Amino acid sequence: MHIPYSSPAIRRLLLIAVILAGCLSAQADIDKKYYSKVAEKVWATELPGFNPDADLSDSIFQGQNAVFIARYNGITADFDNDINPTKQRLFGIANNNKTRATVLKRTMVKINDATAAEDFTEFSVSPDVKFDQHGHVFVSEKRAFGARIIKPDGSINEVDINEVLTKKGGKKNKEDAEHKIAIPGLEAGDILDYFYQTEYALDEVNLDEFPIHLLAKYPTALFTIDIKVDPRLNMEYGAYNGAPKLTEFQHTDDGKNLFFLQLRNVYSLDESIPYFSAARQMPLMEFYILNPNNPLMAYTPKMSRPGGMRYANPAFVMRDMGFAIVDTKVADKVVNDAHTIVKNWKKAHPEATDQQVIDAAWIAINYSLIKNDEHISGRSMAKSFYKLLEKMDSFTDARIAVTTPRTNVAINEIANFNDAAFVVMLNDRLFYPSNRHQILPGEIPASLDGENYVLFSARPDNPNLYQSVQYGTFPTTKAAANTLRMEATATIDPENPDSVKVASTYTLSGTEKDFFTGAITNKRFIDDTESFLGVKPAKIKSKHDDVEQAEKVRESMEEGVKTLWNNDEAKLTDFEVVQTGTTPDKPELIIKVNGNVPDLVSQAGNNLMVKLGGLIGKQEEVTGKNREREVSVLMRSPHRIDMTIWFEIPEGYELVEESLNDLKNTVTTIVGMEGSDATLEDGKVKIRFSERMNRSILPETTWPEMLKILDASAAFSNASIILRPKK
Amino acid sequence: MLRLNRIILSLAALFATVCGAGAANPNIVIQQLDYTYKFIPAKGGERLEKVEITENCTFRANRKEDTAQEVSYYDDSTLKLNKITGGDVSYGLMFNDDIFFDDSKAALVNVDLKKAGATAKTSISKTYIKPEFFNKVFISEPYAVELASYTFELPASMESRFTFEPRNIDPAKIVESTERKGNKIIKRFTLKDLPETKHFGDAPSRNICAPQIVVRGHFRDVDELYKYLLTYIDPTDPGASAVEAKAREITAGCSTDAERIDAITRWVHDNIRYVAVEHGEFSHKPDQPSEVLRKLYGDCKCSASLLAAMFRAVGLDGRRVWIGTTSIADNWTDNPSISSGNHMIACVMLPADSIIFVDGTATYSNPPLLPTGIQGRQALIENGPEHPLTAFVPLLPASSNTWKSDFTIAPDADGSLSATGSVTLTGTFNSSLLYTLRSTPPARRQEVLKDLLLRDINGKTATIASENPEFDSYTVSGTVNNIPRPKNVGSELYVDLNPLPDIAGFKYELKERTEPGEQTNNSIIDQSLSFKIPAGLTAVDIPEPVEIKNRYFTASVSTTLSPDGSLITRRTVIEKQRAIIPLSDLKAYNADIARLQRACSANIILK
Repeated sequence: MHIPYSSPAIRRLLLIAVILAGCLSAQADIDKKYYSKVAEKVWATELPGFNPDADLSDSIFQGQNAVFIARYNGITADFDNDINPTKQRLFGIANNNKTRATVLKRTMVKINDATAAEDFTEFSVSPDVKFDQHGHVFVSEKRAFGARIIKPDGSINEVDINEVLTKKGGKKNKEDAEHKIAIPGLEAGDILDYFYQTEYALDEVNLDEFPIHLLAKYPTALFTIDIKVDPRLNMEYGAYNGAPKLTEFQHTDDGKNLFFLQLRNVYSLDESIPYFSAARQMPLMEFYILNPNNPLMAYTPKMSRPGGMRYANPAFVMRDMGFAIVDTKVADKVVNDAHTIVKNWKKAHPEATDQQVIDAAWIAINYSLIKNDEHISGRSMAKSFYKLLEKMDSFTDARIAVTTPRTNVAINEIANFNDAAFVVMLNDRLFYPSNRHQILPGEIPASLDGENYVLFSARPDNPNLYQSVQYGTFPTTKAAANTLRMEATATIDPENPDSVKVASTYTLSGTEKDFFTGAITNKRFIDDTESFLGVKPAKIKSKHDDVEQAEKVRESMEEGVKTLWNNDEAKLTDFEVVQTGTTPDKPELIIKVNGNVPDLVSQAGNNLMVKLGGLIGKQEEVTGKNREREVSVLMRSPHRIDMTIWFEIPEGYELVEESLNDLKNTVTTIVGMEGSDATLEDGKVKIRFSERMNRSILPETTWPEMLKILDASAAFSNASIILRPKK
Repeated sequence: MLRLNRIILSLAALFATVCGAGAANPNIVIQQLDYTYKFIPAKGGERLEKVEITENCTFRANRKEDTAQEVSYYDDSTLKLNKITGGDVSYGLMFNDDIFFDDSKAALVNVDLKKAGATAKTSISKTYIKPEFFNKVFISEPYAVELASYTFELPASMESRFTFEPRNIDPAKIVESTERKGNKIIKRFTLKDLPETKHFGDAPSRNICAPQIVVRGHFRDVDELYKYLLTYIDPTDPGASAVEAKAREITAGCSTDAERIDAITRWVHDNIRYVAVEHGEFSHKPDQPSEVLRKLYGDCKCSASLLAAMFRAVGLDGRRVWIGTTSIADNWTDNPSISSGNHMIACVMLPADSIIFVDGTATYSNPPLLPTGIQGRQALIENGPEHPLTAFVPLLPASSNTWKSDFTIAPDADGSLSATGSVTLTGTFNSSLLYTLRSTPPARRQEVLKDLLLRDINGKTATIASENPEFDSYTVSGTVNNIPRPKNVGSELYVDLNPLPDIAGFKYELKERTEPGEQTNNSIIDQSLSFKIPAGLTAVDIPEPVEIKNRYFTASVSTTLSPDGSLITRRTVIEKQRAIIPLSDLKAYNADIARLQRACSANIILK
């Protein structure tokens, strides 16, 4: 599968490799002396809360396998721009441009039982990493780990670093390594005090971001974040979902900016809540320590802020984004190719409206990416599409905007320019670079339903682009924009009277198309795209085997019918993608799925019970503690489902019409509706099922209303009709 | 709301390499595969010094350009990788979730096949530097193989010692030949048209059912194997006194041997965490017992050694025991080979030849109950320097692993339905529950117990009335609420009294299946579900009882009305036997399950 858009992390690695083509190596053995030296220093440092006798009487610490007495996240970052003659000789750069940072994560945990002892038995330490060229080290990451056990009698047993086991790999065992240690002698009642430390020395490279989740598997008595940064470096952070926001900072004695935060009695994390988004509902902080002095191997937006420490001010981040857009290169080859395609398309469709031409341009540029085997960032794609529209003369109103889906933090809170989705907006329509081709040109994907965006209202190559930000909100979509319609005929399988044969057609729009994303092979997508664009089939460079992919798609569908018909034994007979829903002229995905669902027919005396409700698919059944809720409900999108099932009554039987009564049901609440109906028409049983969810986001107070709908849908999926032998 | 189990063709699936369980790639075939194993004797002796392996493989792309992948495993301590040619090679560490630390590694060879019809050849050379670890050759490749040959070349002097036994291979597909060349014997197995490997999760282990050639002869008999295994045991333990002191402390209040065995075993279960460290000689060499006691962790051989030492410290005849679990094909005496074992337990020899086996890793099986994975397996028991004892670990009857539930559905005051009753688990079912409970924070244990009730009874919420953990059983009593109402059709009520709604899961997947099925335990499932009949209604058409009996299980489904006509009960009892179910029997097995399912799901009409 062609993946035209790549992640920032991959781009960073590629950039390093392309620029320097240097040598990346992992240190195979641990430096025991270094480990010991670091441990000595860490144990000698008094950190807040690291007190084995800490008061754990608060109720949140009761009934837990373990309790974190203290968690400490410390970062100290310095800037080094000393003159470096070697670097000058090798690369023509006279000074270091280096971030030196020490990151310490220390944890003290009370082990209450054997489960916790097992939880804290095994630790891994990544190997040291060095990246150099001609002996000049650009990246160095040196790690250390230490642990000690504080016994109930107060005695302290430091874990001997000789217990570390090192597994080596790679050619001649020199390229890869993993260090592991199992903590000896740990038992219930002990306190384990352990740390990880990494020393970074990064020349011309930025540190990666540091995400810190405030909640953990066990509750925490004292959680500390302690960040000291050289004023020539730039530390910005985002705080989300109730995480504290500091805006005033102190200074250390040696002049560093200081971020210091302490939280007491932090709850443990419950990860099993349905309709939950960690990015939007869990306290989280993200720290970025950036070198504003234009490092060679990391893109830094022009006029970036100088050093300092600050809560990531949206205005600053938007300014970064503006500069990033201006600085982003256009994929000229792709643009030119797409331009040719769309010109020809326009000639072939003289009646086409402007909107249709623009949509064709979007399809063309996506196709050109695949055809030319190009891999570019979403930002570059957005700008390239803008350039394509500009080349087409009359569509210069298009502008680039940034946004985030609900799986990420909101755009107006984002802490770094690189974490946004870069999109093109034109006349309230959206062009969203994505590897999911089901998002049509102009469509606002429902994952952005009601989300904020920031529009850069100037042209994307305007040097003052950053000054043109306009905040906005995408409209909330209607359920009707994301529909799943299903028409099916069902008959009892004459060869296997426990089973029902099903022939179904699904027609989907909007986010509901996601369900069948995997049913479409690359080849089919490309074929449809070429057909839409009216271009000759191109020789696509992708190495992927069409036959192999078709087989894998079939395997996916074989698994998928188990969900479609709520039966783990359901068997796929065949399927046909009638329409991929990837081009504007055929926006719906249509697929025919035929198969056999066993065990839907059971006996009741001489009567047969046919569980036709199962054909509406596997429903979300909320049981146990999940029926209570304290956080808001986040769904993918509003949606509507309409299903009609025609059941042919087998020879020798007749319907017990009263058995349809409990298939006629309507539940309407403030959050949506569930409705079903069953009738006998032309000797066949006709069952209709509908479900509508009105909103993507619901307050927790509406959870009981949503449960009514979910329960009704789940109950319907177990509904049966009854047939009796004809008299 | 439709649960979003999207039909998504994940990138992971698309790019799954032959390292994983990726689907077959029909574009690539192995045109020819020639594996040669040269047995190299030590100079001037009978001893085998090493086995040199050469793996030559010719790949072909059938329809279009592609990249074939070949993976070669090694560890440097028993098996060394010498050389790879024929493609882009990358080397990596191998990780297994069950093993904390070992030395397994892999080399991945990417072979470009530049167009349809293109062929490319790889050659891999490896050496077993510990030849006794060379016990079998699996005949399984991720691509279909057109022609394969496996050649064993050994000195004529070793001809009578080593044998090569094809297993799980259609005799029509394999040709065996023996040739004498000078003082060498060349044994060759040639196979044609082999399908790509596909292993089913509900099949016996690959050790048992995969096509393979078993190599026998490293050890003449069990005694020789035993003496070899003893070389991994360090007879001295400088810290023995600490072990002795701990054993005495643990058993201080015990007055009988049984109590001492129980106390020591429970202490090891509760305090020795399972951590598998298996690099180099540690794959077979246990830590000294005092080290295990200091670390409070270890793998099976470590906990077994500690158990044996502790037993001895309190005057019992404690011994180490080598054993193969149910995933191992052979008994020690049938095939005296390292590959006939994969586990170590301990035992206590009691007077009158009574042997108490104890598994230090079976944290959730209270002693002397043993996990089902070692029941019925042959044990090789430490017994002085020359001759081991062999004995079979008892195979406990089905009644030792039971899942019994009994619930009655009745209307609540508000007219909704609830079911009140209990679930009792023993043996392996009890162990599973104990494991889940232990890995759950104490504050959430009630949720686990509620889920247990909700697993048996279809309702929305549950309340726990009591829980009663005993020696080898766990009983949970309570009520399941919000049970779906019976279907009301005119004057009739259709009651779904299915005590085993998940029974379809007992069936075996038959599509493209080439392997047998496996029932891993002897067990009994005994579930009853009753419905309190509302006043004025009576049950009609009560189904006849159904009984099913085959070689693998017996089952009965009965529906009965109480004498006063107020309660209708369906009871399903299934007694399963541990068995490997041949492929040829699986269809009939599934049909029997389907009959059972029909009987369980039949509704009862109340009028």
